[in-house]
Amino acid sequence: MGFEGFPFVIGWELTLICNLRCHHCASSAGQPRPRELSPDEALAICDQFPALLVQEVDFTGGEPLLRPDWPAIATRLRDLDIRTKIITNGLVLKASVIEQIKDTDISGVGVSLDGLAATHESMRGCPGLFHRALKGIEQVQNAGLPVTVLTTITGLNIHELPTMYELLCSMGITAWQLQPIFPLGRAHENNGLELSEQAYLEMGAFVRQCWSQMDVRGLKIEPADSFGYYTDLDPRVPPWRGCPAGQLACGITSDGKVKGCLSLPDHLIEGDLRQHDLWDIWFHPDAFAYTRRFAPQDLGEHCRACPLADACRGGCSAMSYGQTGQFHNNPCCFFAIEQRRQEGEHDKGIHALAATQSGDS
Amino acid sequence: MIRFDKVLMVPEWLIPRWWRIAYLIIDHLREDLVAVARVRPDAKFEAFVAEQLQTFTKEGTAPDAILPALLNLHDDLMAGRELTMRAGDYIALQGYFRSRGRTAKK
Repeated sequence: MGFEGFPFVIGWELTLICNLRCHHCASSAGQPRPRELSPDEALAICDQFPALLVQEVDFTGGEPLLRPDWPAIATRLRDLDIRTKIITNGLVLKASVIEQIKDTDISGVGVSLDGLAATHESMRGCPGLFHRALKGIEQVQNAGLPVTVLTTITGLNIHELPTMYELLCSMGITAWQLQPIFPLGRAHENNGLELSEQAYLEMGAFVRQCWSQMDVRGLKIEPADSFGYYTDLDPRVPPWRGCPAGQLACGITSDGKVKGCLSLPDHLIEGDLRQHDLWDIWFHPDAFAYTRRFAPQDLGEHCRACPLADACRGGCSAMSYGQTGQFHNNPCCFFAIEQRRQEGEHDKGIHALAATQSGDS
Repeated sequence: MIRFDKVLMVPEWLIPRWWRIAYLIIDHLREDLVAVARVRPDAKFEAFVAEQLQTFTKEGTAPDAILPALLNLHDDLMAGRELTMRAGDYIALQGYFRSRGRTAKK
């Protein structure tokens, strides 16, 4: 039997053009890719989605709002009964753009906020950006559109999360997506952004605490796929069941290449929409082999001994690849960290006992 | 090509505009998606399936590649059940439809 999954959710990098050069950008966005899709090509790709049962398309970039024909693409998707969301840095969220977002029935707007003012502006290299982003968020809220604040958690902003939480609650934000940083693209080149093991656990504890207050404070925490897994720090229900890339989701780059997830590096493309239909790429027998042909022997050193590996399959593919250059080998995992720490404590205990017994304590 | 005995005619109005695709395979992933997706088929594909189904019900014949899918569809329709297409059947029908299109273009 062949693979029988569908790309229910597609991340679509509408353009790699960006008005910012963020230190943590996994896509290294800024300049456009050579030969980005033409308006006609983009619309023709939309028309391929219904057969593949696509339920949601998330516009991303670069800065997707800088692609002039984004409203035409959104309109086409709306006409095809496909839900569309957009992720923006907020810099171009002015009244006329928000009006277009409303007119095209975009069902949600994600705005990036990577810390309090100084941190956000330092990470994104743009003075004044924080207040412009807040103003953009407010305008989107006033237009009656659902807003999700997106935060990439790094070593620079992790200690600001509690203050950000209070700020977002005071703004009436109802959804906050938290994404631990991937060491890919520009993030890989910038030291000091990575999360230490301790910071990763602190992030988990923070999410756990916010999760318990969700009903009271009204701010829903949405951990990204790279957050987890399988301890009390990951409160999601149902629990993590493996990376959706190439199984339930895929990414399309601005020049029409297909990947399991846009966070994966460009050399992991599965096909080119200028040469093949999405259907043929998605159902090609060799497509997404790293996940569709997963076998326990594919697990790397960080996951091999894990009792939960059958369900987990090594966590988020992009995080695993970014951290180790391998799939199914993700060291950024609460369960793995706790195991390592317990083993470390156990080893320390054994060493101490051995030292006592040999009389050299 | 496999031949079956003639069976009852399926009236066109019985083939609904919206189909339900039962998603049976990926049960190790998110449970909330392991259910059913609604799909509004492209008009050409819908016409193709309707044509194949009619041929099957009238003449009892169907191409091997899509015979199981047509049998399942036929069962649903004849039993008066809502048409719920198995993911594998849907993929087989789309695959055959697309390969036919490619052959026609050559």
